[in-house]
Amino acid sequence: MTAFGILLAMAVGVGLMLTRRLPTAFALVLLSVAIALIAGAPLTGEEGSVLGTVVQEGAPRLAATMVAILLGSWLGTLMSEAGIASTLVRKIVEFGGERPSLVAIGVFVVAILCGSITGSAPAAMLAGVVGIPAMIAVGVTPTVAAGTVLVGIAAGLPLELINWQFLSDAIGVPVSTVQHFQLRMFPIALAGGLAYILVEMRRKGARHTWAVRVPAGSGAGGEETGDKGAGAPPNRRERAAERRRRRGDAPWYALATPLVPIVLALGLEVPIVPSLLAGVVFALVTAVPWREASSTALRTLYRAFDVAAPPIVLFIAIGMLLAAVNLPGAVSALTPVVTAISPSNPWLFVLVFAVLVPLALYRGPMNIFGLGAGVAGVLISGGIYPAPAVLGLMASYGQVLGVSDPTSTQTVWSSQYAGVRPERSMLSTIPYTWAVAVAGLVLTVFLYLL
Amino acid sequence: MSAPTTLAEQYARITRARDEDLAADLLALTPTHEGRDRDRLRAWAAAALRFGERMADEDAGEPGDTAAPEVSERATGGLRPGEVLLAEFVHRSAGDRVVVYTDALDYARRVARAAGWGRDYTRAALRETALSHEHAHRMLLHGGRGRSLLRELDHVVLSLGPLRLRGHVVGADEIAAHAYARRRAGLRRSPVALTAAIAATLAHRGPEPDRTPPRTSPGECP
Repeated sequence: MTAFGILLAMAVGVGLMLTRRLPTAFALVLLSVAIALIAGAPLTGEEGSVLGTVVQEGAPRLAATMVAILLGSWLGTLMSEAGIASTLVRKIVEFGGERPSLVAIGVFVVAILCGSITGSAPAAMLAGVVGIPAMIAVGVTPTVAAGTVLVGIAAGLPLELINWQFLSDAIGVPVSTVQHFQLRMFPIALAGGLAYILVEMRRKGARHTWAVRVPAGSGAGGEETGDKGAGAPPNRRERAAERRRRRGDAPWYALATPLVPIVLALGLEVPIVPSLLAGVVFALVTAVPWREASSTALRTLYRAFDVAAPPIVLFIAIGMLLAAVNLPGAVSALTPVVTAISPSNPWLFVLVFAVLVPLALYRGPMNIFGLGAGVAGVLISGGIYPAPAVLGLMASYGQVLGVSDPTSTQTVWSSQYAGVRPERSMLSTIPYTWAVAVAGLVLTVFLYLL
Repeated sequence: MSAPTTLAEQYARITRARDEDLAADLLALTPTHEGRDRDRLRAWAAAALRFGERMADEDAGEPGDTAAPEVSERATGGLRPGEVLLAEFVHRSAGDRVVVYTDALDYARRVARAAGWGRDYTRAALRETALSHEHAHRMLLHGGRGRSLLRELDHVVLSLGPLRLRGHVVGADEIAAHAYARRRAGLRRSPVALTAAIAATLAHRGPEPDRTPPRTSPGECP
């Protein structure tokens, strides 16, 4: 009966998220409290209570991830303001502009680098603000241009230090275990992304148009709202663009900035936070004039708080959800149900979870940045699969939702910026991301279940 | 002098402006050219315009195209939120295809009339301009003309002793295609000006002050 109540609450939570009646973070907080109450947790108390364990201890549970997100956002904002990502794209277009496939692969590589620094819409903007119109201008179709940025960011996801910290915190495995899996997942995601670009470019062909779009900053669409008079003060984006104009292209050695945190974390085993900080310092030293360094550092740090706010709020809620599903009452109620429906045969594991891939879309129950975190918690606390196998499962699903979910911010931003509907991006990319997820599940079986 | 703010003032400014300045404006709108020197953009625009005109002159003396692309017309799909798509050329291994959007051509015709260029841009002239524009893209894609355009633009991105590597200039092919279409269709007013006028209407939400913005159903998009 308790299990039924919890599953019903989860279904209501998914419904609230799907129908956008409540933002995901708010729905997860309510769901956490509901699960704890249904599991019989007392409202207050030291051990296993709603307010003490779920709300108080759950909220900062992913604190390390939140700090990593803030630093990643800082580095991303700095890379944007210093023109590092746009310079990379510009050089790629200048060198390979005659061949649309080559330009798309170049932007794909830049998107991998951006996706390894920061995630979600900020990563898409870093690679896409210049990359998407540049690809369209050389003949890549808008759908493939948006998809290229998305598959690039997803291919960078296995190298993203923030993602390592999140999976480590959420699933409860050491960062080294996450690193072990993700480094093996990276070539799969890379191959999937390249396959998408090459096959779709061949299928859709090169497209050149006589088309006119709303001029940027005209106030008639895009992100600007309302018409601006001639004397209106420039907004923040225009001021940042003006600063970039004054500085010109970033110097060639500054283009190595995205590699700094990865090299430090992978090559020298420097922890995640100092690796990201080193990236920030490298960008400041190489791409920003010395006299502007401190003001730029502070300004971009403050802007990073804006960028990092939505994921941080989400991770506070996920921390509470994880605390709720790990309450003794929830574990004992859900374990028999989840054990009964979870396949024990490794190849059945691949088959069943391959079929369930669409449940990661539309904020569904297998979305690790939502209810999926709770599902992962139940799978581990019930002892159904070893924690690294759950890590593999969720990382594989992460490849699908990071590219094809029409409700993900990066998918919405990239699609709309390219002038296509997010659903069209989903249809274009899902055969490839689904295949990548299945390959990830097979990898999980080989690494942890055989 | 203050910048023109009404649509009528914008049309007047575009009518007075030289093609190379309008073409440089189009290049400047591309994010890839953010921060580029205005004189450099103007030089590239002028080179691309010259190239397009020369391409039209050369094309006039050549025999007809034996592998002409499939041409189709669509009544809707050219007017999308924030975008006017007049024509598109799709190059696939299965064969090339050109699509002309008549709702967008009608919109362009209304803009041309409002700007005072109605005699130049009749329905037939607009269609011919759109087809010529896409034909120019096709010519640039096939048979080495793209490389010739690179040489004309002379944007050197790498220089090692006597070796000079010329880079691609985003948007230059578009300018060349406009110049080609103008020459082929025998227009007095350049499609670059018409493009600038349509952009002005999008910024002002409609070709005339009392018109609503183009918001028909989004058509098929590859």
